[in-house]
Amino acid sequence: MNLVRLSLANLAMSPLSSVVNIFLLGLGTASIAILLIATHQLTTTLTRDSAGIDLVIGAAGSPLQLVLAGVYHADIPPGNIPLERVKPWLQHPLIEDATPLALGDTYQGYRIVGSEKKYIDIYGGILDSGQLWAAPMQIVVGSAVAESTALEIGSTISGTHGLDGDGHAHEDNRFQVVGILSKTGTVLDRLLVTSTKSVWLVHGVSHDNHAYEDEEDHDAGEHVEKHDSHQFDEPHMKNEYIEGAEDQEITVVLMTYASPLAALSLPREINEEAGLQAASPAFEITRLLQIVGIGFGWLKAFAAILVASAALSIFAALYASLKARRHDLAVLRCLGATRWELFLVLFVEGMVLTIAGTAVGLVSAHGGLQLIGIWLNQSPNIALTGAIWAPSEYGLIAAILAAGFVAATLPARQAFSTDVTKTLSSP
Amino acid sequence: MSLSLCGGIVMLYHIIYQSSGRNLYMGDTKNPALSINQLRFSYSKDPLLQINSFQLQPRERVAVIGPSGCGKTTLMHIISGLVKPQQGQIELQGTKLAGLKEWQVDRLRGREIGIVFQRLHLIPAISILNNLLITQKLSRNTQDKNSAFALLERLGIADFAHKHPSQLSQGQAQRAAIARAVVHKPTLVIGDEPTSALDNQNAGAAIELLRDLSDDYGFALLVVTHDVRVRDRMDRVLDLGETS
Repeated sequence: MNLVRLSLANLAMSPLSSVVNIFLLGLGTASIAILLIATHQLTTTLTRDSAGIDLVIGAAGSPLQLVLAGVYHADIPPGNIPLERVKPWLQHPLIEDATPLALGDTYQGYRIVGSEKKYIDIYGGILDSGQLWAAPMQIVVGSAVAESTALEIGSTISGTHGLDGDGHAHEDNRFQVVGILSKTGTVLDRLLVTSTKSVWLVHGVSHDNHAYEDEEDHDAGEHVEKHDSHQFDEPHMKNEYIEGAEDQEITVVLMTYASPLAALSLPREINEEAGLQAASPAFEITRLLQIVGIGFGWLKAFAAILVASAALSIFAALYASLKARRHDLAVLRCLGATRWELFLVLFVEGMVLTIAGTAVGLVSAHGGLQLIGIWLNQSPNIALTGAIWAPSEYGLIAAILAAGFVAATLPARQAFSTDVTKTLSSP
Repeated sequence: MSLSLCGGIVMLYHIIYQSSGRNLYMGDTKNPALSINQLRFSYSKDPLLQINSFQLQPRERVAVIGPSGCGKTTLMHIISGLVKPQQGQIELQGTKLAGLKEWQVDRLRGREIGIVFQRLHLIPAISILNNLLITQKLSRNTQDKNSAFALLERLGIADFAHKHPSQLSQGQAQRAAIARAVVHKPTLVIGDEPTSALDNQNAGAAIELLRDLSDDYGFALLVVTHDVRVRDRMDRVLDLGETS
């Protein structure tokens, strides 16, 4: 038996009050932690998915919509653009690399992206099994898609027209799954990727156009070694298929600048062209986070009020406990306890409540987010997990412990000052 | 009638010859459990307590009596080091309280003194056994669960060792409070009206228990009381009404 165990026994003596205080603090902690983890995850995901993409070109409209649709596949694109219109920009000297995407169909809610093989390289994708497409109507599947839809090598699928999943199925143009990608933790996991030509074929584009077949021919028969991170490099193929396919349409082009100077002039020049727009993912995402951040800010303020209320509640509970147990504390002094030991008894009670409340809050936040993540896994566009630690959580813990420290110290200070003789002679 | 007259004469003897404010005890001064010299204490101009010399030997039992407000409880607090006198010296087992820092006095009190309170004040959040163990802990002695349990057995409340104070009868709780006061083997046990809340049977049993334990453990016993039955069972009387 010691004073710490005595503190715990005191807490156990009033279980309802202890549980309510822990619950209140846990609620506030969980609220803030969820916001911090979600914000961290959102920021990390948005940053990771747009890494290496300096500019997105697409049809005129909302730049944010263009970025959300073209980079994150989380929105409907503003429209398609003729390949002919973007061709000059693809060969612009200030552009190091350009990857056109043709969108339009989905499979069970997951988007089918028509592009070049280097699109997979943008996200560091490697094959888990199978190979990349070597002929039209072959498709590779992202890890989350494979897990969710149970597709495997050899499966055949037909895309659904449109990006909202309500369109008709292209039953006449079935894709064959030839490869499954390893998990990258990026948007690629939630996509099905095929050649641009395949998308054009599905949408009734002339088969006479052989220009884009160069790409397929190039890789025909090649089996890509599993886990080779450079397996999709096609350095000599800077949009070769475009030659002769100028009458086709694409949805967006993802571009990487050759020089920082490009950021100064290129977007402006593109935006001056009718029907085209250029949007910077970094800029648009910063804008988006600012908009979302305002909402998060209010939620955080509300959660902070919850935490402050919980700290006050702990203070009130300890203070009431102090009043109720003033004789016990005086007796402890008589038994030989020093003033600091009386301080310790109350302080430990307060900190135990604080630590327990914080732990409950953090476990609830991470556990809750994990459950939500599992539930949302059904959704093709959102990935959320509780199994990550946001660095700002350290700050949250420090702030809550500091609040608990203050809430515990004030009654403990009163215990320290207990006047034994007066207390024992009082009723 | 004759019995009460005899009792009165004995009491008078104690009050007059053994509890005078000048020289309260003239016995063995070799190794006193408690020594008080030239003690003066007051809350106002008029002195409340004034004891020139008083010593208490191990195993000696003294009743502290006096009218209400004469400073009986204050004396207990002074002896315990909870209140500092304006003047005078208190020694516990040869250690002077004056000059010690507060925490040193706390340690000394925890080690050398056991207290039986009028309202018992057992700590309600923990079991009876833990009430004894926390006392051992605060006395800075080694916690000895076996000896604590043996003491409870001796006092006939071992079956209640793991019960909380609220689950005990008044008599059982009184015995538990006595056990707590002696479990760390102090040199001095102070009783502050320890029997005032008890019925006759329990009061008699409690005081006999304290006496027996004093004999066995060797502690000196200082009991503030208004109870004649308690006073009669003590070796001598310190009448604060006479000393102030």
